[in-house]
Amino acid sequence: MHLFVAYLDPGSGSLIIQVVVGSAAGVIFLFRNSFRQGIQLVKGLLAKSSANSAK
Amino acid sequence: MFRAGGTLYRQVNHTYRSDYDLLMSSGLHDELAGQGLIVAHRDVTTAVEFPKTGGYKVIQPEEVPLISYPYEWCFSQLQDAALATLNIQLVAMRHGLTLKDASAYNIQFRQGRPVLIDTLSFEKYVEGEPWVAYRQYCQHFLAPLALMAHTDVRLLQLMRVYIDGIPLDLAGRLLPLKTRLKPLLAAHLHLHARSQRRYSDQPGQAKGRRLSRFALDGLLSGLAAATKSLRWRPAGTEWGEYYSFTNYTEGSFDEKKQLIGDFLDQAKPSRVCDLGANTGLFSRLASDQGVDTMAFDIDPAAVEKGYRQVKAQSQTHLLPLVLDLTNPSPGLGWANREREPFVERARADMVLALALIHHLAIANNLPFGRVAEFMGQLADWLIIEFVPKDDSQVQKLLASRQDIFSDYSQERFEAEFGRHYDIKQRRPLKDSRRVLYLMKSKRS
Repeated sequence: MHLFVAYLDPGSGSLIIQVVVGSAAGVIFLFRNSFRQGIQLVKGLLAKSSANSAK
Repeated sequence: MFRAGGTLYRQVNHTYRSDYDLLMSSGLHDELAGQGLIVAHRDVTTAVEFPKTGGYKVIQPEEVPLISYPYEWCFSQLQDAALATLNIQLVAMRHGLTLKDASAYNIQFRQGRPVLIDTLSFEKYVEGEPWVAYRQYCQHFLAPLALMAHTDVRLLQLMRVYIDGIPLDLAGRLLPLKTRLKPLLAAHLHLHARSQRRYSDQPGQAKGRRLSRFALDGLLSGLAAATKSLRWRPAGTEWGEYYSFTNYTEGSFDEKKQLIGDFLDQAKPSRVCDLGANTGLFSRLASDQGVDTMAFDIDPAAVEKGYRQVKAQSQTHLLPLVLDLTNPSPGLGWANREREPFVERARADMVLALALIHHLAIANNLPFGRVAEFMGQLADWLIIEFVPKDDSQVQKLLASRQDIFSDYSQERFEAEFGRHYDIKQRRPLKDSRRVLYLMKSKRS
């Protein structure tokens, strides 16, 4: 039992884990966004080329 | 906060001046108020005097008619309040501000939807600063939701004991092992608790730690995903299926509805408190007429179902809440005055107590007189259903206990309630020996 958590916790642990988790989540977020953007780009290019070939 | 002439006001001090000005000039207040995510307010500085020194503005926030606390919410209400808090934070960041609190007590339900009531919860966002409300969000929302979803829905009652949210080390001990394998819960609850323990006596460790805007977006997105991923399905509880197991015939059920409607027309309440409301079937007779109605029930499953109906049908005047009537929410916090007790918040014009009296008198040994006195504290008007001893529902209660309730009779009921109330109407229900009463307090 860590009584310090109840009486003295200055919130350091929360801030530190937030930085760690946030950074990891940020990287995942970045990859996910880049992946989605990539998919959109490919979709756009495919749509463009099919429109050109239809002409 | 202060009241003058019955109206609620709030003083904004000079110390908060720059953040308040940013809140208003950035357009954040207007956007959140437009989306119904915050109570709108009017600047009444020129019309109202400052009650204390140091005042910069006086604002008049819109009042929320029914005040409730997290330990009275069902699973979906807490989840919606959590997601509203994250949504508000995301909108705030787009305007260059951030929430400095993520307290569940800052959220209330208005017109069936969660709304932030603390206008002054915002401060300027400084790039690189971590979210100061992160710990509070995890303790007030994520931990109780995870406990409800993965351990037991009744554990939300821990919020009554821990007024600043459930300590994460305690939540971690109560959660099943499988939650350690779920990356988001493992990070925001289990690792978070470990980090709190690790650094609890090292206040300097967090100094200078920075969190980029991108990482903060990722953190918030992860919190939203963790919150949304939690599910609780109301099933298998005593009351969740109550209306499937009652002994009313179709005719007596319809007649009961008709009579309650007539009594409501007679009393014309503007606020109703339904005790033992189950999913709120009869509460809706009032709320559908535009009467603000609180529907209390002890069963989280019944309240969950009631709330889901409120959402699905966009009902704006009904608030289903969880409450054990034999142990109602007390005053909590500093000097027992930070959170008002149930009896202060539930005051109404009318109490509905349908098919409830036998549970109080027989299952909980409460004398009729005490019940009448309590209900009289809540409202002047009372619609109450007397359920006689030979009713099958009462017989169920007596099946496993000795019948020591020789005083449980209609005559005694009328005599005891008659001390506090005038009986205005007495209507037996068809195909039943139950009786529906309309009473008015003698004090009024």
